[in-house]
Amino acid sequence: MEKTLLTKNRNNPFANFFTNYKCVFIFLVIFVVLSICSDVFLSSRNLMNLVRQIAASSILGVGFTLVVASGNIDLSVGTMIGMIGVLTALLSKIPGMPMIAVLLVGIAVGLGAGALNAFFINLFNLPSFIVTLANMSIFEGICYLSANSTPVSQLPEWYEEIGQGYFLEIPVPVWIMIAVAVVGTIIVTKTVFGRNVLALGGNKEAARVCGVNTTKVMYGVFMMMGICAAITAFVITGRSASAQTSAGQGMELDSIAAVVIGGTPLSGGHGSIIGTVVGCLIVGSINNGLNLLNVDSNWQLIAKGLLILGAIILDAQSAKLSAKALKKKMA
Amino acid sequence: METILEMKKITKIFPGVRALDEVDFNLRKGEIHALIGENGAGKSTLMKALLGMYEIDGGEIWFKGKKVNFKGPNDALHAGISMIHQEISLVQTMSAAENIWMGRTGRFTKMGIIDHKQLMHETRELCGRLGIQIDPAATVETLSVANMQLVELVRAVSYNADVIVMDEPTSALTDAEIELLYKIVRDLAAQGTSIIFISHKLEEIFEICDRITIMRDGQYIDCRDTTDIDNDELIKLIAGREINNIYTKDHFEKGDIALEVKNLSSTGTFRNISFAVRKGEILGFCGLMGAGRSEIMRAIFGIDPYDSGEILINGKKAVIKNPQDAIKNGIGMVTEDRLRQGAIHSLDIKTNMSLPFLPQLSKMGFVYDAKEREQCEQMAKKMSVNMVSFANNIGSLSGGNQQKVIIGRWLLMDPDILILDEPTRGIDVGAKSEIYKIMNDLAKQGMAIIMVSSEMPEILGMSDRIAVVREGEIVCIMENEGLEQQTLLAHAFGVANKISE
Repeated sequence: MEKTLLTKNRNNPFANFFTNYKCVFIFLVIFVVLSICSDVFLSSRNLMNLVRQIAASSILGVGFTLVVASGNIDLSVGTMIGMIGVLTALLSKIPGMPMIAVLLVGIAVGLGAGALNAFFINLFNLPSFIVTLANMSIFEGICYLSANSTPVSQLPEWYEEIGQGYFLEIPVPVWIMIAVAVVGTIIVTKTVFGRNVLALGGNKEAARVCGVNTTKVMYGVFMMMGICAAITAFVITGRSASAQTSAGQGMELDSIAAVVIGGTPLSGGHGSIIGTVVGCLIVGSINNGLNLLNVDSNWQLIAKGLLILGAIILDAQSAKLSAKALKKKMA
Repeated sequence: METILEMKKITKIFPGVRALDEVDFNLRKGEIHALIGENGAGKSTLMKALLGMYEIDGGEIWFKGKKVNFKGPNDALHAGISMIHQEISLVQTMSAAENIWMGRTGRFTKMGIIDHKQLMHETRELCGRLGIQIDPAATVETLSVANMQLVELVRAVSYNADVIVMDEPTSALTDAEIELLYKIVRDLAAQGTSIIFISHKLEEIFEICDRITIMRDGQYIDCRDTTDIDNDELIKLIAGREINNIYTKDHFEKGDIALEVKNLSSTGTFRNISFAVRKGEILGFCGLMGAGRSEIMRAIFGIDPYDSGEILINGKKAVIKNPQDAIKNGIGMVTEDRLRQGAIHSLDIKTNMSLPFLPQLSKMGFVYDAKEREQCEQMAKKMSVNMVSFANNIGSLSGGNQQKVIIGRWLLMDPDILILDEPTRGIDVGAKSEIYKIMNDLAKQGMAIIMVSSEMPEILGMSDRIAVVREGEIVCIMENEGLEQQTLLAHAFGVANKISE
């Protein structure tokens, strides 16, 4: 029952801190281990590389945190990214097309795709899992159809800037990530909408009784997810200087892992944007570190899977322990 | 006649409540024995203790001359006690026959494959013997609720149990089906099966039961032969206790009508509900569980839709399609089910409290943290919520304190009309008394309050007027002057006329 990020243990401030920021500790352990194992890991060039790698998954993770906190899941974001990448790439190649128009169209497609998910979930009271699974396929189809099944390359220079450029010696994607994470954190902690999202995820019936317009909140959550997917698409497309039809595939699953490792429970009711960013850092460092150590990419997949299992088991166990402690205290 | 089952001094303690307090119960072979009491008297708890669904904290159970301690319903079943639960517990997607023989299809299998012909044949035979006409091959979800209940009955009988517990078996049945059930029950008893019959319908109990055990507040009150007691006396025994002084109730002038409901109906749930409540008035709603009280309130508050009728607020017709509309119209509602519809357990106390009031505590969608904290702190103080910190999860509070937070949630918006559905269920006497005091203060300030409660003393102690709901209709609305618990119970049980005769 106490499977929550904010379970307080009044008697032991350290234990309290640890339960709240488990993922930070996990990250520190991994960081130290990798620094010892590889002499390149700590180099500023590699660290910069690492944050650039995780920028895209963190941007997506911000939206995903909202979705999971509201008690939902969105399996369609992976192919949504591919779709938006291809559509905006095609648009950007039209001579004289201004950058702002392309980006706005990309965002609009993201909003529309998210609204479509929310529409079916709301109207027919369906589980988000199955609706987004279906739309995953639809978005994939649109992506392949519009790209004619081939990558769209030779993009304008500004598009490459988004993925590869630097501003004040920090990669542009990292700036975007910081901005999105800050906005996301403000939404979750400071706004009525954020409260409503958590209430919806925590207890839909109670939220409804308290006058929360659950339909509207559902639209809000999935449309914000759409915006995040669009921004992720810009970054990924810019990074590879071409829109790959398979660009976002599998990212939805990585996002789920990062969100859960970051302390947002799959059952909803809680959301930690910072946790998700750290979750992305954990997954990213492991990938990066194993690359540096020349581990075979197939083994990397297995290592990633084990890591996710380990992190979630740790989360469940510590929640159980703190629940036990609470029970003892109350008895 | 020999005794087949004896429960001696059964005690069951839940945190803060003695749910069963040295309850005695004995059952003879071949008798139909009624177990009766108000909601929450401990009937279900006693049966759950018998079946081993609860571990008992004291007492002994003797079955067929041996001391037993069942580990669960399955264990009890194998020993010879089966139960028909009030809620349907069938697998909806499987056939009636498969449900009846669930877990025992082994007897129909040859080399691991079920012989469906044999399964259907035996089921048809069993149904025929009982006089029940159900197609054994029909999928349960295609059956009517009454037929589902009959499938449950067939299943319970198919175990050839020595004791069958029936919890409100007639609640979904039509008159003809009830007659059939009576016949089956009588036949079973004649063949030596003992029946424990839990029911709220007194006429039913007088019709088929041999003896009656009465429970109240988790205690054994009396056990009588049916021929030995009349309606009047039985109701007196069920109601029993005196009202003590935990209630705060001042009398003062009432204001204008705040809320009026005209002919509200919802098919299959309630019909032609009309009542009005004035400013400063507490209108109590009593009735048996399942009579439709909560459903009426849920419709008024916009949680569930209704089919026809109208709601007037301060004399003007109000359109309430969802809780947002109700809140805009100045109505607040504390729902019956604190766990499912009240508290949000993943959130802290402050966030739980401020939720419906957030639009007023924010600007452009941003929450004013300081204002929120200040207002919630004041409300918590006013409600005397006993807590360590606002930042703790609401789950860290006791039931009574959780309820105070949830009532406080609605008081923040200062509603004109407050609906309280079972406001004191599952909380201790101290917290109850505080909630009554708050209700009295609110009424004095001119709030119109509707209180739904299954606890008769609470209804009598706090209400200005009392509406009794029975089977989806308001039977009567009475001034709470010199009213007695028996009168209310008689109306709720639908035997009021018999008493006055």
